[in-house]
Order: sequence, then C-alpha cells, then structure tokens
Amino acid sequence: MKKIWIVIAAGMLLGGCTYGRVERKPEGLRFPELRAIEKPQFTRERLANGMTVFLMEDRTLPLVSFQALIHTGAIYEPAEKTGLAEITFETLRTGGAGSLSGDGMDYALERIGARISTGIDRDIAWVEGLSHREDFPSVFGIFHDILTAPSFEQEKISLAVIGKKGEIRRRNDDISGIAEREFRRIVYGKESPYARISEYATIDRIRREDLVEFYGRFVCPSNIILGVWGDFDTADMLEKVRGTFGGWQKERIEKPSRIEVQFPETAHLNMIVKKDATQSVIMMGHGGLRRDHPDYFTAVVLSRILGAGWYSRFSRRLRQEKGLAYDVWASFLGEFDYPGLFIASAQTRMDRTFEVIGLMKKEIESVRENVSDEELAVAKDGILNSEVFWSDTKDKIIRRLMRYEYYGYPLDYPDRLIEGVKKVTGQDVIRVANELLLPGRLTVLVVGSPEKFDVPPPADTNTIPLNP
Amino acid sequence: MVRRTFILAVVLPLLVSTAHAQVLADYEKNITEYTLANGMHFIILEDHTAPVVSFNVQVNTGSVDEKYGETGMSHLMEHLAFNGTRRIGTRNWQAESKVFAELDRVYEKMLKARKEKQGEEYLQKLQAEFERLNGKAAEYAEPNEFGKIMDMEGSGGLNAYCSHDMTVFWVELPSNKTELWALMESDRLFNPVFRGFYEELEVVKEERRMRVENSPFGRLMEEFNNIGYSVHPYRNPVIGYPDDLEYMTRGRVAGFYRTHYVPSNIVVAIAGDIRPAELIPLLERYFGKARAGKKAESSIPAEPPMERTERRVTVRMDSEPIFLTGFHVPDIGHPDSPVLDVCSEILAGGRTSRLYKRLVKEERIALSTASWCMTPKYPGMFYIWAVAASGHTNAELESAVMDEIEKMKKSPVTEDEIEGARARLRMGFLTGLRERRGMAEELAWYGSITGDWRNLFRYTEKLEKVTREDVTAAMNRYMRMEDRIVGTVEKE
Repeated sequence: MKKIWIVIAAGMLLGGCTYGRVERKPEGLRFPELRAIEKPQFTRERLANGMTVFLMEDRTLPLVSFQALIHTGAIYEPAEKTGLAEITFETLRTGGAGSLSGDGMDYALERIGARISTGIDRDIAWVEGLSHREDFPSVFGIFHDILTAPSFEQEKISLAVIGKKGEIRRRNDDISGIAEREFRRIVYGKESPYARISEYATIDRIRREDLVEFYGRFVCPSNIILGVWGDFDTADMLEKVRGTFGGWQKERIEKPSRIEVQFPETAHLNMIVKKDATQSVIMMGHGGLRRDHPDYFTAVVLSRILGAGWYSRFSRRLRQEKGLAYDVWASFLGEFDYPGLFIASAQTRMDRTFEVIGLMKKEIESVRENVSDEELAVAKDGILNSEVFWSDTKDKIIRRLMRYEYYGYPLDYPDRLIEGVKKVTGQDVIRVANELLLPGRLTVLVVGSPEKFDVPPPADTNTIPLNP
Repeated sequence: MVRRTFILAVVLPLLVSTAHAQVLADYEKNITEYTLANGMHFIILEDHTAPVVSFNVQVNTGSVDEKYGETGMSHLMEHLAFNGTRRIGTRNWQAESKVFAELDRVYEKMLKARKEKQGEEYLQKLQAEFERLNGKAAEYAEPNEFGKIMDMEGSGGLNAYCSHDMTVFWVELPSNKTELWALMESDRLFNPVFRGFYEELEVVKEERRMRVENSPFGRLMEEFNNIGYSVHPYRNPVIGYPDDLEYMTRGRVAGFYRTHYVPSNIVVAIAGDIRPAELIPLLERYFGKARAGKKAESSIPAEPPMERTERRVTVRMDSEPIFLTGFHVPDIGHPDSPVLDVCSEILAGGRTSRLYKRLVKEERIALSTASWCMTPKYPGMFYIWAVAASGHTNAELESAVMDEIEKMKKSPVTEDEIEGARARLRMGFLTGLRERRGMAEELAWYGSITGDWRNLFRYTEKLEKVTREDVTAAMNRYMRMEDRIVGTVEKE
C-alpha cells in the first residue's frame, strides 16, 4: 500500500503549527476550507436597577427561551443546614409566586406545554424556561413572579423535604454515585462547601424563614444576568424586558465573594464496601486548576492525550488493548471559580481491580515523561477542528456568553482558548504534566467487594463506612 | 385564568393543525431522498445555519434478529464496527488476517474443550497458544484508529447504540469533512474485520456489569422484560446474557453481519450544511460499490395474546424499593399508538399528571413517577414506574397506580387534560426540531421502521386528533388488570 505523508490543509489552516512527521489518514483525501461560522448578533444591556440582559434573535422556530443566572450557590448556605440552597430553589418554582399557588402554576404552564425550572449548583443558580412565541407574555409574567415574589408555600417545602430525605436514603443504591460523591468528599474534605452533603439532621433544621432569608440575601436585580433568545424582534423584546423587570427595585444585599479551597491531606488508598457489586469503581486524582490558570489550555490538551477521547492512552491501553473496562477516562475538570479536580476513573471486574489501579497509575506517570508527535497532533487537531461545535446553535452561544459574564471571564474566552491550544508544544505538555500531575499525591478510592479483589487491600487502606 | 383556558381550547387546535401541515411542507422543501442501485437509502435534510453535518446510520437489525443462544450479538457487532477494516486500524492486513484465522481456530478448540470438560492440562496448553497468537495479532493492530481519525478531524460526537430493533451509528463533523465521513462510514459498514474481537468481548462484559448487574434499575428492566414476553425476542436483553457472551466467536458474528448489514437494510439521514447535488456523487462513489444483498427475514415469533396471566418478578439487592408495571401495547404503525402516548402524558407527564398529583403531591407515598409507552417495530409495552418515599412500600404504590388506571378506564378524562397532554407533546416535538442530531435520528428511524420519514410529522398530527373517547377506549383495551406485569426491586 502506497502511503503518502501529508498534513491536511484544514489542519494547517486551523492549527498553524507543525508536529513533525505525523501521518494523516485516510491517505489522499483533501478537505476544502471550512466556511467561517457566522457569529450571531446579540444585545447586551444593563437595566437601571442593575440587571444585565442578553438578547439573541433566532427566528427558525416559533419558540422563546429564557434564563436568569443568579449570583449565589450552595457554598453560601450554613453548614449545619446543608440542603437549604437546593430546597430554596426547588420551592422557588413549586411553592407558588405572585397570584398563583404552586399547583396553579404547574397547571398554567403544563396546560400550554411551557416549562420553567430552577436549579442551584455550588457556585451558580438559575431559573429558566421555554414557551411558544404566542404564550410568551403570560409565561414571562410567571417567570417574573418567581424571581420577584415567590410564596414558599409550607406544603411544598415539606414536599421538598420528603424528596431530599428520599434522596439521602437512596444515595447508596448506585455504586457510581457513591464513588463520585465520596471521592469529592475525600479530596476537598468532607466539611468543604465544595463537597459537603446533606444529612437527615441538616435537613431537619431547615425552616421556612431560612428559605425566605436565603432567597432575600441573593435574589436581586444586580445579582442577575437575564438572557432571552428565540423568535422575537430585539427592540420589542428589550422593551418587554424593561417593562417586566425595570420596575423591580431591590438593593443588592450581598454579592457573594469566593470561598477559597484548601485541599486537605488524604490517605493514599481509600475503600468503600458495596457487598453485592460485580464490578468495582475506581477513582483517583487530586486537586486541579481553574479555567483562568495560565496552563489551562495545555491541561486541556494533556487531558485528551491521557484520558479523554478515542485515541487517549487510557482508552487504548485499558479498553482497546486489554478489554479491562467499558468506562475509562482521565481529565482535568476545570471549574470557573474554584480549583477543579484531576480525576482518572475506571470500572472493572472485581478480580482485576488492583491490576487496573496499577495500569492507571502507570499511564499517569508515563505521560510526564514523553508525548509523541502523533498524540499531540491528534489532541490539538481534535480540539481545533471541532471548535465549530461550540457555536453551531444559538442556544449554545448565548448560554455560554452568559456563563462567561457570570464568572467574570472575557466573552471571547473560546477564541483565547483556541489561540492558546494552537501554541501548545510537546514540551509544554510534559512540563505541565510534571507540574500538575502528582503521582506521589494521588488519592485513590475503590468501591467494591474486597473479598473478590485480585489482591487483598493493603493493611494501611482507609476504609470509609457508608451511612445511612 | 378562565379566559386563557377558553381561548386555548377553542383557537389553538385550529392554529396548530395548520402549523403542522406548514412544518411538514417546509421540510418537504428541504429534504431530498436518494436510493442507490444496491438499495441503500438516504434522507438528506439541508440546514445551512452552521457549517456542520449530523450523520445518522440506522441498520435495521437489533437483538430481535438474534437466534437462540446468541443474545448480545448485534450489540457486540456494533462495538466491533469501531475496530477498523482491512484498511483502517491495521499495519498489515494480509499478515494480520492469517493470525486471526489461526487464533480463531485455537479459540474454538478452547470452547469445545470447555464444553466437553476436557483435562485442565490440555486447556492450559490451548490458553497459552491463544495468548501467544493474540499477542501476535495485537502487533498488527492500530488501536482505535477509526475513532482517532474522526476525533482528529473534528467530530463533535461519535458513538453508536443498539436497541431491540435497530443498530444506530452517529457522528457529527464540520461540513468540509463530508467526504471523510463517506469514506470511513462506507468502509466500516461494508468491510469490517472484527478486529480486537476477544478484548471487545471483555469490554462488553464490563458494560453489562455496569449497566445491568450493578444497577438496580438495569436488573429490574432485564428481569421485567424477561417475564413480560413469553416468546417474542423483546424478552432478551440487548446486551446479551453472560452465558451467550461466553460462546461468541468471530465467525458467528461475521455470519450475523453478512445476513443483516446489507445495503437495502440501511437507512441514513444526513442533516446539515450540505448540498444534495454535491453529496449524491459522493454517496454513489463510496456506498454504491457495496454489493446488493438479500434483506434478511428473521423469523420472529409473535407474542401470544395474554389472557388472565398476571406475571410478577422481584429483584432482591442492596437497594431501596422500585416499582414497575407494564401492559402489552401495539407497534408504532397501529392507530392506537398516538392515543396511548396521550394516555401516558395524562397519567404521568409532569406535575399535573394523575399519578404525580396523587402519589407524590397528595398521598406522598412516592418520590417520583414516570411512564413510557414504548411502541417500536413489533408490539411494545406501556411501562409505569414509581419510586417509594421513605417508609412506604411497593405494595402501596401498586395499589395507588392500579386505582388511577381503573379510574381512567371508568370515567372519561377531561377535555382540559387532553388539551394539556397535546400541548406538551406538541412543544416536545417543536423543541426536538431544534436539534440537528435528534432530527437526523428521527428521520432515519421513521424512514427505516415505517418506510417514510413523513410519518414523523403525520404522527404528531394524529396526536392532535386524539379524543377523550379514544383515551377511554385505549385504556380499557390495553390496561387489563388480570394481564398486568409487575416487577419490583426489594431490599435484601
């Protein structure tokens, strides 16, 4: 077979760098230049009351979507009432608002197929929805009432409490869920606002006043970024938004400030017993970095080489070559506002557990020593050539813009990421792997049935009990 | 409130039926269909909003086509399709193929020896030989080359899945890589070599442990379908039984492949920034070469009617209780299918549904409820789930669920409930149109299973016409208590 050594035009065009002699397959195919993606117009306005507004027209379907991002998060709830943030945001939607009861609101929305939902994560909260263009005025009115005049009906609070307690009771049914939750608790520390979890006792301490207070502390115009996108005319919509929210006057009570992360010392090997499991879940890793870290771009490339994607070392070595796992990956999970984690994960049959742990560690160590031209090319081109998928729908674009605005990142962050990735060299990857991947500090968690392991767990293994 | 309800009830249905006709007319303009001489069919949807394309390949085969003792074969084949061809994924196909042949002979000897319980010493000898040859085969392989090329050229997602009915491969690429897709996809569909067979078998076993054995919900579904059907292959798990996986061989999978992966059994939907005039010559060049084969006719036994045969199964594991019940329903082409979707919406679609209102909001015996009316290629199943709140039992959930079903059978639902159900289904349909990948999937599915992609739009029109009487009739026709199937997870 005649092999031709070429660098594909599109790779050159986007990559603008050389990788040494990297063979491109299939041979002989040449691709036309990709037509540039049209950057959609959007409007960004600040209302007099401090609310930031993003608008983007999308006239393809008779739908209008909307989202409010609210500066708050579960990290701001009192530790002894862990679960308060989630219950507050659930009841914000279910507990009625304005003139509608909770049940009345369910009816008003579901009767016309419109949706409004709420949610809160550790450092961000949202109220969002979707309606038919014709129904938008009434749905937007309900959305306004949820943000400005929630009722927090006692009955729906107690329903949320039942739900939360049910979640606690069921949280050990699923072995992957156990691993993800407990790994985070080990690495951040179980008291950390970035990892702590609700218990029956913390839920039992929550009263309606706490919800009203939590809502009142954070939900105000100047803490909100509002986006509306869909089938409308921008000028009309801006007027509509002003008319709806412009009169909402509430002083900023608190702009939450960042809570710093301190990674605690951990035991190297941790184990949780799940008695009837046939497959163990392995997670290993340590503290990582924020997305504004100067080496983040390199860490993205490194993740691809090590454990994200079809050609990563984890996928090739553990899955393809050895058939040891279906689900196997390793990656730096970059958070916007606090250091994320480096995590490597695999699920494997019990009697190969420690063999897999050994292989995972070996890959993490070896990527600190060498990276081939081929690996670098696959990782970089993969990122650069797929950039178009970050912006192939308006929904993705506006949601992303709002996130950057929320976390105080530049709105052209994707362009900077692309520029950053283009410049990454093999030496950069090895340097960053040596600085950010710390084999000596890896925390390992295994969830499984130890009596079925390939080797008995070492004596210094830290066994973590599961409760409840 | 009252005024709005009135307006909706009277005006919207008219608006909506014109809207649906309009949507279909718009799609008619943007869709081109093309069939190659070998029978392979393409549905091409132009959408120039971004320079990307979604490709969705549906091979009309799945676990229903598996013979006794071969469960899991179609899913294993789906995995193996990623492992390359004579051209992709190898350093030297000629040498590699010779090793495959030797390796497979040794493996079949091993299976035979194990079955016949031959001496341990002989087995070990075979095992050593197997490992030597498998190591040799690995020297020729370029692991994950197919995925590597797609990744490198910018795929926005590359994956596949297998169901009882279908095997689906999908990928999204920047639109300038359309020819790459045609080359790679045609090669993998028509020249697979089942590379890495023995490792992939282990990967699938891991997938089974993850999805089924370690998952309360996964185990419940497997056991439920197993008793829910007595002869129809929907009773078998798509991923296969462990014992059947133990006896898979490359030769048997290759046989399955030859029977089912013929061009006339494949429908492809392509949605995105492409021009049919430029695309069709590529389709001819790359897919036209494949030899036309005879479309396989699997002999699939029909499920006998259930009459007064309530069936129950309990899975005991380290998990909180889960309740599942089901009733036999028809296939996608049956006129009752849209009616049953409306029934499902009224029963369990959202917070205003009957089950949510009663079990979660009022009686507080459940944390959540859900239903799914599965109407696939062959007669399907109407599933209803409920998850008990702390201190409540599956028995309580069952009695409340059955009571609500009885109520829906005895007295007609309200016009308001029908309107709400239709509105939610309509909005679900509209939002689905926004998703390029989802649209490609729907078009290919309707194209393949029902023979015409337009049925996707016709189906939503039928939903608009469902009446209260239809709902009562369908509830009585299908939800017979004496024929119910019940599955539960109980704590050990």
